[in-house]
Amino acid sequence: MFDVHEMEVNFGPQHPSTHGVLRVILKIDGERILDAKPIIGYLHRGTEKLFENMAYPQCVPHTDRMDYVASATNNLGFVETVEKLLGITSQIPKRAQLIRVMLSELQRISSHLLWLATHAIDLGAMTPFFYTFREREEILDMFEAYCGARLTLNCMRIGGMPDDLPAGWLEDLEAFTAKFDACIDEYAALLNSNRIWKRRTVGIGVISPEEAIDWGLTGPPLRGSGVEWDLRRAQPYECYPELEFDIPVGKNGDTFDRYLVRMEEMRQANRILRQCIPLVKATPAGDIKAKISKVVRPPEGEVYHSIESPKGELGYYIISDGKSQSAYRCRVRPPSFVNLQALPAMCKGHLVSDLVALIGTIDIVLGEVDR
Amino acid sequence: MAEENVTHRPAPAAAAKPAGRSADEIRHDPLVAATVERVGESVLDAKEFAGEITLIVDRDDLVKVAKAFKDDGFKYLVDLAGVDYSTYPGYKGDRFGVSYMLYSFGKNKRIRLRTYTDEATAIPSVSAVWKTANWQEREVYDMFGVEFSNHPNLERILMWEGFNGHPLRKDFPIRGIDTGARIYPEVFPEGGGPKAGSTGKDAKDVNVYQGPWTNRGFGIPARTGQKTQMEPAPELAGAVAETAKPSDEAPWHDPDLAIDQRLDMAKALDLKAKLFAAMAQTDCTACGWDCEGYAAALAAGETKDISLCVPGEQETESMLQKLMKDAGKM
Repeated sequence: MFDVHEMEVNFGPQHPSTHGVLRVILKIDGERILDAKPIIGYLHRGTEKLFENMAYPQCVPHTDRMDYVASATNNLGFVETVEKLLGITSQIPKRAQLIRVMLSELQRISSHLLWLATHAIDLGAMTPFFYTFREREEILDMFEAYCGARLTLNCMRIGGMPDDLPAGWLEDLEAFTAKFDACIDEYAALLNSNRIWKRRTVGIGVISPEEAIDWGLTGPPLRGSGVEWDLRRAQPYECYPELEFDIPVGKNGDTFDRYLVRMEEMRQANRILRQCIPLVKATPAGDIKAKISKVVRPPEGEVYHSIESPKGELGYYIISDGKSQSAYRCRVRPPSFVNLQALPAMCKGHLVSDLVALIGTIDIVLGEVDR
Repeated sequence: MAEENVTHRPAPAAAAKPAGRSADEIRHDPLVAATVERVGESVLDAKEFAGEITLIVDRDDLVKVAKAFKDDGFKYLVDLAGVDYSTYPGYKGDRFGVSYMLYSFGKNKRIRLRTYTDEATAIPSVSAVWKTANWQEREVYDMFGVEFSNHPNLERILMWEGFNGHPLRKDFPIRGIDTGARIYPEVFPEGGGPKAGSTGKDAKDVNVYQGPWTNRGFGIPARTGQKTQMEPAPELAGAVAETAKPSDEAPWHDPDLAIDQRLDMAKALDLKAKLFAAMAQTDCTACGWDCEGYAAALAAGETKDISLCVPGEQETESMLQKLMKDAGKM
């Protein structure tokens, strides 16, 4: 009685809502998605191969170019892994740790702001873009004041930080943190009870906690499904144990819950930043580097270390042969790559327009997916 | 307050020192003891570094061990990483290792399983144990050429189907290979790409274009014609032009000869001929001339840059430096 017209459609790689060069081959029946197959690799630059051929300190700028909207956390993951390999994790001065935490949390906010702006635009809400980019600009200005770069920061070094905070930086941060909570309220007012927004996100791409773990999801996609797991709490690094923050979790595991989780994460990041300011002021100025040898030649061994990046668990797995100044093997565990894998499972049965919401809610950066 | 922070820093480098436990002690670590008890005969060895436990697992029993660990709480497969051990100092054994990072939410601990294989033998896929292994195994297959048996969809993931070679193998050249294999099959025939055991330093190791260059709208100037400098075109490096043939006046103009053979032929001749013999002889025009033109330009002092010969790499550059120094031009 009914005719089934299956069709194969290419979605991307030049589609603006694929956030880069993601291509999805869709099998559709009308507007309904029967199957989806992500095709990736268009941005593959062989970063892991490059790491094997350069000295450890030279790798740091390359980490910027993976998740290029959250380069500070990429730097952090790499330098911490090398520090663990060298066994100098405990020697990093308190001030350097605090600067690292502040930059990472600012980066988390800026990454989430970019996510919110693009996610909302993909679903037809233009306005949040202007609001979020207003605040993101201030964060980028602070990055620029600290290290001179706005996007690819290269702002961390093995054993500490390259520079101390410039004069007036903490005051800028204080002013930003004081007003930022009110800014989040503004974004929330635009979307939280917006009927179109809710129709586009509630009940879309539901993923159960068990499935989320099986797919290896981390970060907001995992917490949106109700699993309270954050590496900053579970396996803390730097001075996170001294800082108070809550881990927001969702209930339904749908796109709307993941949105709420990220909104709350921005608030918590702001809370962490506020706690950092007096702590930094209490540390001696200029104490930002551990005394380590100029040549980084770790002992023979292998370590895996991961941090909570804005997208999820960002891990580095480094094997050192003990003789060379470069890694024998450096594997990056990219959160976007692993999270993207769940896309076909999430979008089956939904409409093609929901795919746009789902790509947005996973929050992928193709530079990190393809490396 | 400030002083306190500094003095309270723990003693350097003590924490991450390898504990130096024996394999047997690690097997009885409370973290893994219960599981190892059940699948003990499949766990071949155990290592520890910086507090991280690595269990070496028998390849054929991998799925059994993986399931046992999953049942004991390691529900989250964090990462799956391939390693090519072929150039690891002092390493003897199967070429590839695959490491599985596992995490237990209940114990809040990680462990690592590792298994080894050679080029020919497939590793059993754990994608039925953890769904997340699907793409991760595809990536290892893509980057190392390690096969996984019983994988639902083992195809390349980052490189395209038809790509020659596996980029993270140690014998894959760091500068890459010509990658037109899929798009220009007539130019890059199947089975091209890096040859096993090649260093990647020799242009002949990789699949290079042999036909006429028509896309740029020019031919390499005939040897009898005048030597005009063209735009430098580094993307042409490695191409061997049709003019790259030995002739009576330039018997060394043959890319198949080694550099010392070529220089031997030119040793009695003038500086320009010697410089010419030191070039890579491919007439690739990456430097902006053909090989003879570059030699002439160096001999005449039109350029002082000796680093322009891309296919000749280090050996040409150091030979040019030596010749120029001997001639008192540097």
